Amino acid sequence: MNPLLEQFLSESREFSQGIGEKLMQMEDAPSDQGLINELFRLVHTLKGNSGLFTFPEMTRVLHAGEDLLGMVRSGRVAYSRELADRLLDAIDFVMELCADIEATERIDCSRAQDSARVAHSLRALIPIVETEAPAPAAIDAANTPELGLLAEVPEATRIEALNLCRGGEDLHWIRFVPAHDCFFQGDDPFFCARQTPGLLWGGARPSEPLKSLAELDTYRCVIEFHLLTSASREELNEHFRYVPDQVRIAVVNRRCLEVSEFKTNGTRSADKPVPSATLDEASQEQIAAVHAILAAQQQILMNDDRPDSRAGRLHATGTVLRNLAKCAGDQVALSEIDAALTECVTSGKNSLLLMWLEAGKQHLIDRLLAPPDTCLPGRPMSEDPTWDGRLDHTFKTMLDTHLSRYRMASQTVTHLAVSGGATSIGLDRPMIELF
Amino acid sequence: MKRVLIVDDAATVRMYHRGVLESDGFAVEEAMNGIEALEKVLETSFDLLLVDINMPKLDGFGFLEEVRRREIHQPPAIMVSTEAAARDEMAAYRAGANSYLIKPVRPLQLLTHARLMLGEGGR
Repeated sequence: MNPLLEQFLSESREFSQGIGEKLMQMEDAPSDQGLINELFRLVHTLKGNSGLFTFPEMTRVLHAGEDLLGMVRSGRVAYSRELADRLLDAIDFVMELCADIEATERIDCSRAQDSARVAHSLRALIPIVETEAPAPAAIDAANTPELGLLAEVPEATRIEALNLCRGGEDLHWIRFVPAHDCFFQGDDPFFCARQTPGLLWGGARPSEPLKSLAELDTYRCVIEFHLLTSASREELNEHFRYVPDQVRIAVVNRRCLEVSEFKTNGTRSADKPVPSATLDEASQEQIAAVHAILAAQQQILMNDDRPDSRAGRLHATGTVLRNLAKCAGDQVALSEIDAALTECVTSGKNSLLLMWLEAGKQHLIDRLLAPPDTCLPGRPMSEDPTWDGRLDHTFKTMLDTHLSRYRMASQTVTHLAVSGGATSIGLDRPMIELF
Repeated sequence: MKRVLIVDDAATVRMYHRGVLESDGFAVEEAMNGIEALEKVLETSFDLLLVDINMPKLDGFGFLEEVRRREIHQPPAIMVSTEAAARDEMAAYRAGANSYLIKPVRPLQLLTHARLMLGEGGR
C-alpha cells in the first residue's frame, strides 16, 4: 500500500475516534461552541482528506455530516441525541469503508447504496431536505433534438462510432447540465464530464444566452456538456449517480451515424475550422494559473481597507507580480512594478500598482502564454494569427474568471483561441470541443 | 532551493503536498496549525506559504493576518481550502493570501502556481 494511503487510513481512524469522543462529550455540554467547532473541523478535515482519493462513497457521507454540523455550528439546527446517533452511525460506516480500503485499496461500488442511505439520514436533519433524485431519464432517441448535435462530432470520431455500432455496441448521447449552483455543492462538472466511461467525444456550450459582463454572475454555472460514449446504460447510471437529475441519456440510432451529411445550420462540423493544436496539460494549467493569479492580485490591491496589514500584503503582491514578470522575461515590466511598488509604499495607497496591473495585465498574460516558439520582442501580440484579440472581451473575461472555478475550462479558451474563436458565443454558435 | 512552509492540520494533506513539492525540487517544512507556523515564519525566511483555512489554535486567516501585520519578510501565500464559496476566497485575499486553490489540489496545478509565484514558471 502506498504511504499516502496508509497515512490517510491512520488519520481517518484517529479522526473518527476523535469525532466519537467529541460526540460523547457533547451529551454533557450540548451547547459548547468549542466542542461543536472542533467536531466540525474533524469532519471537515476528514472529508478533505477523502477527496485526495477517488472514494466518492466516503466523501458523500462526510460531506453530509459536514453540512449538518455546519448548521449546528451556526445555530440553525439544535444538537440532539438523534443527531449524535446518526453521526455515530455515519462514522461507523466510514470506518467500515476504511476497512474495505485497507483490504483491497478501493471501495466496492456496491457500497454506493449504503453511502446514499447514510448521507440521506444526515441530510434529513437539515431543514431543507435533500432528497434522492431518480435515475437519469431515458429519452426517445427519435425525438431528441440533442442528437442533431451529432453534427458537431468530427468525421473520424463519427466513423469510429459507426463501426462500434456495427459491431453491436449501443452508443449513448448524454446531455449533462450541471446545476447553476454546482460550485457551492463541491461538484466538479468538468471532471465529471471528462471521466465519463467510454467517452468518444465531448463538447460544451452555454446552457443559456450569456449576459453582458456587468450582469454576469461568474459563480453561476451556465455551461452544458454533450457527450458521445460507448458505455452501457448501467455504467452511465453509476457514473452520474450523484447528479441523475442533471443528465439526459439517449441511445444513438445507428442510422444517425450513417447519414453522411448532418444538416445543422447548413454546415458540417468537418467543414468548420478545427483547432490546429491541442495544448498539453501543462500549458492548460499555465493558462488557468496565470489568469487566476493575476485576478487575485487585482482583488488584493483593490481591498485597501486594513491599514495594519496593508504594507505586508502590498509587499507580497509586489513579489508575486515581479515573479510573474520574471517568468515572462519582461524587464520593462519588472522596473515598472518596482517603481509603482515604491510609490505605493511611500504614498500609503495601492492605486499606482493597481493601475499598472490594469494597464499591463494583458501584455503580461500574452507574454506568459505565448507559445514557446513565438518571437515576442518588438511584435505586438495582435499581429499573431493565433493569439490575437479576436475573442470578445466580455466572454473572455467571463472565462478568465471561470478558469479558477472550472478546472478544465482553460481548454475552452484554448480552443476558442486557436480556432480563431467566436467574437461572441451564443446558443447558435458551434460547440467548443473539449476532449 | 526554494523553501515552502505547508500549514495544515491534516497529516495526509501535508504528506500529499510535501510529496508534490519535493518532487519538483522544493525544500519543504510543515506546521500543524497557525501558531506553530507563525513561530517558524518568525525564525526562518520562507519563499512560499501553503496554508489551509480550518485549523485548531489559529486558523489560516488568523495566521496570514499575523504574518502580514509584521515587519518581516513577506512571502507569497497560497490558501488551500475545501470551501468553494466566493466568501472564503475574498476573505483569503483580505487576510493576506495571494492565490486560492480548492482541495484536492492537483499536483500540476500546485506546481504551476508555485513556480509562477516564485518566478520560476517561464516557458
